[in-house]
Amino acid sequence: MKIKYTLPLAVLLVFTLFPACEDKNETEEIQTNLVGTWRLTSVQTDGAATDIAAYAGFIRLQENRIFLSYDATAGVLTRGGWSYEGNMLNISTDLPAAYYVLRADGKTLSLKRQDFNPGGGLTITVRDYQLTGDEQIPE
Amino acid sequence: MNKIRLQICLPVLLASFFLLSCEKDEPDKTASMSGLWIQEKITVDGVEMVLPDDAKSLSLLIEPNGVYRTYAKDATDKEHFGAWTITDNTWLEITADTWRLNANPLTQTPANQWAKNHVLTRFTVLNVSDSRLEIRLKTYEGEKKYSALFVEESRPLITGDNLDKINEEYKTLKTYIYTFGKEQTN
Repeated sequence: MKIKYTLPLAVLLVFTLFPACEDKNETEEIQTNLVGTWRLTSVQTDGAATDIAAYAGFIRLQENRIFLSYDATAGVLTRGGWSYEGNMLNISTDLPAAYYVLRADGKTLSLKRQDFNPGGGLTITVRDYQLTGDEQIPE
Repeated sequence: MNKIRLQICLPVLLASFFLLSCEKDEPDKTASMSGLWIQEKITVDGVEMVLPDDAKSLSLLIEPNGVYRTYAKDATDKEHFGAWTITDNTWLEITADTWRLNANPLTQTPANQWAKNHVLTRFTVLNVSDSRLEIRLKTYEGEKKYSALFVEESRPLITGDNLDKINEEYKTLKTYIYTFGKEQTN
């Protein structure tokens, strides 16, 4: 009886330890949480809030890796592609700049981007988004 | 008895194998590369180069998605970018804007004397830590001089007086060592 349980228990031990090497699930979870239509709610540049009260901006990250950006104030729709590689969100229309995903919980999204300032240092921009309906972006 | 031992030892051996496969003998250079680096000096064949003003303030931003950007605040062409990767935990391979002479440049109009390409360049990573990056490049003098490595120098108008000299630069091998210091970012 004792022998009967030894092998399954040992095999279970192997499969419990093995996944510890991988962070694949975390990447997949972020990718899943990125998908949706998002409304821009705030922008901070080097920690200072930018007034976006008069601006209505939306982005959509589609499951098929199509990216849409809609400036509802100007009525301008931009199309591109997106990927999540090296723990960064790459949007074809913004490359070579890419985004660090600070938060992606399925309801809110927070993206950080670094750009050179005139002195050669970095300007940090953080954009916060809230999940909204697909109808916000006309196609 | 032997069967029981095998049933216990085999899975334990397997578990050890998988656990050890997670460990690396050397620190992972890929993880250390990301960040904002400021160029401090370049040596050529062991002698420190006198850097022009635009190269003294060069910023190199390496990000984990495999893209790098450079910014030279005093240069005419301030920004360049390309892809980067670490291979065999030894080499830093980057793609960079490179200028080479077209065939028969003396018969070409000034605008067609030089051709721009975006090509792969391989550096050896000598040292990368939390504060310092040292990379070595062995290449032709002309390749370095007329590429965005990392500041793009102006290209001269090709004449009968300087053509031989520039051709010679593309045949002369030099070893360059770039040293960068790391800037702390949020």
